[in-house]
Amino acid sequence: MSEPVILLDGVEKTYPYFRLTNIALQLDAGQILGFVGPNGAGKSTTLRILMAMVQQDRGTVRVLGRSLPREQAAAKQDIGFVSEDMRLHGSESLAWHMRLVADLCPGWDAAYATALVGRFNLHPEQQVRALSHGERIKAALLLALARRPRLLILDEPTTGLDPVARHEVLAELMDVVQDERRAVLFSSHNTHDVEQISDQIAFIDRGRIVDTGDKETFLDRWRRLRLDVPPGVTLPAAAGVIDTSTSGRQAIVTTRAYAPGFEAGYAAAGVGIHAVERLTLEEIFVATVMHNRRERAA
Amino acid sequence: MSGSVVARLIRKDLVLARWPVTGALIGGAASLAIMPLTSVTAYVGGVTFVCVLVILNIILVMNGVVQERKDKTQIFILSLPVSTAQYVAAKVVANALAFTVPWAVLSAAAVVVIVRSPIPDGLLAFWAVLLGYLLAYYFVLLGVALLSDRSGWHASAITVGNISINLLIPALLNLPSIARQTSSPIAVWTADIVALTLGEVLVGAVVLAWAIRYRSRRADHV
Amino acid sequence: MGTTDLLISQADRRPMYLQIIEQVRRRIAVGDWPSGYELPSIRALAAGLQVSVITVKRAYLELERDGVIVTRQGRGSCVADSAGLSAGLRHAELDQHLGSAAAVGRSLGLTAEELVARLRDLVAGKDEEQR
Repeated sequence: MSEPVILLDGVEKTYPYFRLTNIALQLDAGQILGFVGPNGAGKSTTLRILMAMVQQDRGTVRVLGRSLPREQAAAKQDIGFVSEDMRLHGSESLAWHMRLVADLCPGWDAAYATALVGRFNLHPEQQVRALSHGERIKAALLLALARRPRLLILDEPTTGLDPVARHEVLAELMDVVQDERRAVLFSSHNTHDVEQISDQIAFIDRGRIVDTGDKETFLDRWRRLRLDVPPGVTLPAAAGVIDTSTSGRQAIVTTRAYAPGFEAGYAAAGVGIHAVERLTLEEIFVATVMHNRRERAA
Repeated sequence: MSGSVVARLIRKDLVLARWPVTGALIGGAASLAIMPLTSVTAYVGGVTFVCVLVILNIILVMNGVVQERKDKTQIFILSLPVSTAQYVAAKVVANALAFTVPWAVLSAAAVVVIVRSPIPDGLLAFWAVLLGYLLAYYFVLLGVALLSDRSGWHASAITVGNISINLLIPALLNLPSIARQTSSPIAVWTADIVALTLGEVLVGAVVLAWAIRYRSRRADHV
Repeated sequence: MGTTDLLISQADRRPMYLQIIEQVRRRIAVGDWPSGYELPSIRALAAGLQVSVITVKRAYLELERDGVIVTRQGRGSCVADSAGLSAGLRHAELDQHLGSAAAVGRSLGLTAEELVARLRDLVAGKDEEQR
């Protein structure tokens, strides 16, 4: 098995009012990792550490087999990075930026860049400061994608994009991993996008990784059960239940350790089962974070 | 790919600074052109000349260094295969070139104008110290911008710098070794004039060097 | 015939991999994808449908488990021949029947063991009938 494309272990970073604690992440080639967390959770800081723009206080950071921050220039040869707060030089054109990047990056694919200009409906000679927000993001993505990097690190790549642009961007990202040596790490609020295209998922909240795993397992493990608890019957304990809410006879149980036969326990106790529902990634995310915060406060 | 990463980054920053540099050269040349005409235009030209160099200084430092950090354009550059050390080095060199070359060209032109025109050559001593001060001012302002992200510090440095020029000029004109020659056709380079000129440039350069070292040691660049 | 033959709906709340499985089965049942037809590679299909590779992998694994498709090492997957197909389809049919039986059993309050015992009896009875 070849070395992971990204390996973070025990990474820590302390700021006056925020701490990144014990961050561990792994991304293998050919995969897309979706990184989900509320604002201020530490997503951007983690991504900056991966790009050596911020140096970790402690812990191992290895990207494409290179140790960061020491070997950052070598690692960045093969990494494309776009963050939502990044800016291009407003006084210059997209074409100017393309020439600059092509000059500095050996992997630049001019034909692909031209194709992306068309696909993203951009005008290369237009000044960057005249571009709309969506166009600026697409321009930055173009500059990263056309380098054909082995790893793409994207901080909120679809935030602020209209649905059509989102669709185009996701299509390009999926195209990247058609080559199984390449990989994508993207952070997003947009759990829908993450749910759709990620292979692996990591949740982060308040500076800690709260849960990681492959997407299908996540979606399989979590269920919401709508139960009918007749009088005189008590709701039995069950594996992985992190939330129970009752209203009269109705009970809604959320579990993160669902397996076939889970309902049998309830049936045996005389509890009626109305429905067993899957949760969306968004619901899983919110439930995980809320549960984690309660645990930490206790 | 020809040339090194640093050379490319320097060239990029020089390209970005083309308008301020061009403007400074034109403005400086125009103010030198009117200086020899009358005593009024000499005064106006002289003041404009100083302004041009101060404005170039401020624009280069604020747009080239401070704005890039504020705008997070530096994130874009740092996302490319460059190390932070290369980025800082290229930024400092490019910015310094963008100021120092026009400064040198305009200073040389000023010397030529003073020597060739009816303006007393004795004023060369005065201008030497003043031009040296303007270069030192640039070094210090660049150093402040490298060290601090806070606009308060930048504004303070600019204010102190500008006001100090206003204080420097009459102080210089009252300095005996300079006052003696303001109407003389011959320039006399006394030891204190030479010491002042070289000293202020040296102090500025030391401040900048220290700022560069301090900034390079910083681990976080965003 | 390309990957765009398969239609995945975002609005459909069923898991993505189930939708893919169902779509593949439908193509086969209708005759669009005959025996031996080469399925798109997992990555190509993932890119075409804009779903994650892991989802397509899961769908293909289940289809293979059910005998609907056959995967050859290094050469991708293709639709199983008729014999394998029928077997696969019948397996799916069996699962459906067993699922219904389980639901009825649950509503009767039977445990899994009781249900299995019942099935065993029935199988034994059928065997007897056949002799």
